[in-house]
Amino acid sequence: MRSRAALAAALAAAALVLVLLLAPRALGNAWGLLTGRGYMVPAESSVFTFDATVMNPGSGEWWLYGEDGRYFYHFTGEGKVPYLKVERSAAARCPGFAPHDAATWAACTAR
Amino acid sequence: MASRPTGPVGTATNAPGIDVGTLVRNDSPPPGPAVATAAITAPQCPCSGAEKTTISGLGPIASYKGDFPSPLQVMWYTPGGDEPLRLTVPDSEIRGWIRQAAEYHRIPHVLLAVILQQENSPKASGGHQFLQFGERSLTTFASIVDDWFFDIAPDRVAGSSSGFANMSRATLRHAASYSENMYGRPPMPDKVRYRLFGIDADTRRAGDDWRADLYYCAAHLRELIDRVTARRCHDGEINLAQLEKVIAAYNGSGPMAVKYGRDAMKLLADAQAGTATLYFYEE
Repeated sequence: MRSRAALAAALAAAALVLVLLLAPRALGNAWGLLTGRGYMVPAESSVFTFDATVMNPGSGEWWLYGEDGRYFYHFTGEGKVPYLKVERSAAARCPGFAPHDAATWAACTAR
Repeated sequence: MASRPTGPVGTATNAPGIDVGTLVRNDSPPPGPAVATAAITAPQCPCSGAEKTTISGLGPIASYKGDFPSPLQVMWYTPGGDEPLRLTVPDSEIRGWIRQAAEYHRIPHVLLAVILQQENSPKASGGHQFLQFGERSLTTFASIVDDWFFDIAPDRVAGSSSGFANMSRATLRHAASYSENMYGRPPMPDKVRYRLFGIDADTRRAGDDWRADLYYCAAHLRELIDRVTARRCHDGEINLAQLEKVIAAYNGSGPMAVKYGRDAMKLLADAQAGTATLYFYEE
């Protein structure tokens, strides 16, 4: 009985390490969705691909900037869709575009 | 575990009765002849450490002496060396810690109290409080693992908000450094820092020790007061509009933070009118 419990614990630990190594984003996003006040994953993205690159510096746990393989995102907290997004290909054509400065997004933003 | 440093570089003074630790600031030069060598040059801080911020336009608020409705009545805490061993800490004593943390960083006591109430909603159900305690404890545990095992835990977990004041790791560490570099003031006095068997409570992690959390939170509020008033070493009064901005900045940026600030101001107004209670405020 005791050896079964030890095996189960070892398997659980191995599974956690595997998740940490293979899908750290999924773990981080899942944690954010479960516990973070205001945290969200954009509809265009997924827990496996979304990467919150700049977090809100305060106690509110939303992200300010994020990205995935296709878009850059900026969380505004306003409206039905509370974020702006810019396609990476559009960003590449946008002069002065900076992923972490929404003021530079004006010319290339699509809601 | 870290032990108490044996050779402090100097002893700074502050307002009477307040232990400001062992960093040297610009108004308290090191003793002995002034020898210009890098090894013994004391760090110079822009602020004297005597600066104090008060609020104008806010009337008296009733002191509360009852039990906390939130958070869950369980906390992480290392007893002090001079404390008797005990399993419970009276809520009134915790409110005393809150007052002491505000006095130490010379910020308005009511500001720290309202932030704590915002972060530990008194309306939360018992189940929610239990889950919140579990979540914050897990975050703290992840942060400890991260520190000990080469950054293994995802930052999204280990760096997220935790502790009594729900501060993120980055914010907490920045606030502690700000207090040291700008005010020449360690984030907490030695009496609070060194506990039973010399255990160091200044771990720069949220949630490790809830009394330490209060000091980190107060240090951060001091930093935010400077930022909102655009004055280094703010000394004097802030008005209600500035107070609202400080509270909102504690929550972050954007419309949700603005609402957080507005809600807190309403709570303060109601508490002043006697229609709401500030549970973490006891004179």
